Amino acid sequence: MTEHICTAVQQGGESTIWTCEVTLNVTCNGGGGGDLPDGGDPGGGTGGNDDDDEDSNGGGGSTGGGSKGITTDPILGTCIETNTCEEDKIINELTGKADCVYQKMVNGNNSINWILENFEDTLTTSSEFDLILQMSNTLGSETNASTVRSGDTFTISINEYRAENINTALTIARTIIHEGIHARLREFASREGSDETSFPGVYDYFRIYAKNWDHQQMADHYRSTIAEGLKEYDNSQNSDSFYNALAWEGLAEIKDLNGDQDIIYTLAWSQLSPAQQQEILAIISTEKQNGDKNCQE
Amino acid sequence: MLLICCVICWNMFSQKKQIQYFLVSKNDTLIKTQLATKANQYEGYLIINEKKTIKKAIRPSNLAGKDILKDSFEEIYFSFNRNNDTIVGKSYYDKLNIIKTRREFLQINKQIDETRNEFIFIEPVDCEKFILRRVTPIIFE
Repeated sequence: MTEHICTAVQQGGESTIWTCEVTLNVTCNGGGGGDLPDGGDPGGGTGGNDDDDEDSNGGGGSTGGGSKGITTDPILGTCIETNTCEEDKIINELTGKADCVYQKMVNGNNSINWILENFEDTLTTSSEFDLILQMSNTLGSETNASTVRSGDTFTISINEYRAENINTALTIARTIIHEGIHARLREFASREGSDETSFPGVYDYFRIYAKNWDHQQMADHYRSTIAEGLKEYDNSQNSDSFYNALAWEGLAEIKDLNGDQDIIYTLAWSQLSPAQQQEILAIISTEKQNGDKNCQE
Repeated sequence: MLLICCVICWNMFSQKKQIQYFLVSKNDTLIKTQLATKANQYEGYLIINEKKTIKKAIRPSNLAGKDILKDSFEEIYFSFNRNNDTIVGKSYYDKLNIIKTRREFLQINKQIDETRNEFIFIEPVDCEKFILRRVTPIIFE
C-alpha cells in the first residue's frame, strides 16, 4: 500500500476537510456539529406514544476538528485513517457472560449496532464521544447497570454479580440495549451545538420530565427497539409479546431523579390497565425464573 | 439410571423459591415506607444498608451536563400491592420463621436474588393481627 498524506484544504469553525491524492475527503474527530443525516430527532416528541421510535438513523453527521495522519489506498481508492488521528471509539471491557452476550449481539444484525453507531468513527463521520462498556462491583445489588457521562465519555457499567449469578442471557441482552439507548440519547443531547431545533424530541422530554426525561422517552418510544434486539438475539424463539414484555423492565418503576429519589411509575406504564401490567410482570418473572442463564459462544 | 435422570430433572425444574418473612420495624429509621398519593400511586419500602457503600451517579440539572459519582449507602427498594395483603392472627404468625431485624435481613440477602427468594414483609396491626405483604424487589437500569 502506498501512503499519501492528505492535506487540509479548509478549516472552518467546526470542521476540517482533508483532501487526499485520490478522490475522497476525510475528516477526523474533534468538534463537529453532528446533525442527523435526515434532520430527524430521536424518539419524536411527547405527543406520540408506544413504539414509534423508528426515528432518524443518527450517525455522526458532520464532524471536524484538526488532526493528521490520513493515508490513501490507491488500489481501493479510499482514504484510511491512521493512528495519528485521535479516535473516538467503543471500548469493550466486559467479561464473562456479559461479554459473551455483547459479542453475540454486535456480531449479529442486532439493534445494538444501530444504537452504538453514534460512538463509532467511520471514514466520513466521527463521534465526539467515547463509549466504554465495563463490569462493576460498586452498583447496588438491585441495579443491573448504569450509564454515566464523565468528560467526553459515556460509561456503561454492568453489575458483575447479577450478570454472572442472577440474570438470564436475555436479561443481560436487554440491559445492554437499554443502557445503549441511554447513551445514545444522551449523546444526542451532549453534542456541541445541540439544541431544541436539532433534537426537539429530546428537548421536549427534558422540558417536561427534567432529570427523568430519558426513562420517560424510552418507555414511550424505545420499547420496540429493545424488543426487536431481544428477538434477534433469541433467534425469534418466543412471541413478540414476550419480548415486548421483557422490554418493560427498568421502564415501569423508576427513581424520581427530580426529587428525593422516591419511586414513580413512568407515564407509559401507568397508562396500562392493571391486567396488562400483571401480564407483563408475570412474563418477566417467568423469564427470570426459567430463562437460560448461559451464553453459548 | 432412569431414576437418577428423573431425580436430576426434578431438581432442575422444581426449584421453588424460598420464602423470607421479614418483620418491618416502625422504629427502624433506615426502613422507609412510600405510600400512594393522588399524584403517585406507587407503594413500597426502601431499606437502607448503612454497611455497604455503592457508587451513585447524580444527574446534572442541564441536559448536556456531566454526572457526578458519589459514595452512597446501598438502597434496596421493594414494591407491593396492598390488594394482595393478607391478615393473619398471632397463632399463624408464631409459626413463621421470621427475620426480625434489618441487619439480619441484609446479612441473609447480601445480594438480592429475586429468582431464588420470595419476600413477604410483615406489619403488625396490633398484638393479635399482622399484615402479610408480598413485596417485589425493583430492578433498576
